[in-house]
Amino acid sequence: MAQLEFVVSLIVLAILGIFDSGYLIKKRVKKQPLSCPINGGCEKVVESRWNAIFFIKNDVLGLFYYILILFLALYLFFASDRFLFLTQIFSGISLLFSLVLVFIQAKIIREYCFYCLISALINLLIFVNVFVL
Amino acid sequence: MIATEKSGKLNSLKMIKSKIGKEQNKYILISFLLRVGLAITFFYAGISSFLSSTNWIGFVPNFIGLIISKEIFLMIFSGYQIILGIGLLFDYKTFALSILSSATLFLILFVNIINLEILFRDIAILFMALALISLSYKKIGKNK
Repeated sequence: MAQLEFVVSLIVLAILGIFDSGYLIKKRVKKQPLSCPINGGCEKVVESRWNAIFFIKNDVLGLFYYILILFLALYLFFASDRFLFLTQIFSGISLLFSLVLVFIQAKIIREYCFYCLISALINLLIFVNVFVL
Repeated sequence: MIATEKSGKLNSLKMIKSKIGKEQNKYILISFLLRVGLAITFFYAGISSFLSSTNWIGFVPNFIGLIISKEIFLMIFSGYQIILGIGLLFDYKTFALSILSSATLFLILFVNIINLEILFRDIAILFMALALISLSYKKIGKNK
């Protein structure tokens, strides 16, 4: 069984991620503009051609990832550490994916999406958390 | 002459608009940071006490035990904290929820004043909630 503090912080991070990606999905589906508090570049990033991978939108991918992390965290706490390695692999892949997206924002689009950066930060924290578990 | 006057007025209007936009962005960012900060705190405390009540039972005042079992109270309080966190993240009735958050944090500090060595950071969180009250109250004023 994993330590309580790490499982709780993993659950909290997963919930924050669900809210973040859920907000992006909601705004996209309802075709509402994003309230972008840092530089107003959210729309440009979200509507760019890098907003999907294999026809799946990044926000949807993110939402599934955070839901998966939430269930894995609960499993790690209530059952066993059997899926710890799987959680580590998933968090590693998501961090790598986030780094690529941040690089694209900085070097190619040259605009930043606040909510995408928040998501990248959450992924980094999940990665660190999972390896301390 | 009239054309230059018009373009001057247009430029100053654009400047005012961008200034308002920047102020609005600042407001959104501050509100977002305060709400997320408070929500994380409530989520952590709520989930942790829900999963393992033994770590938190010591913070429940003794008089609660006379009315209701401390474990049950902690369960209810966990749910309340999680709902509070969700509400803050959704930006749903932020003014009311920030008042509720301040009251909750004030009561936690008040009944556990003996444990101030552990809880002194909650004072900062209480002030975050108070800042959110003033920020969201301003928003209501502007809407009027």
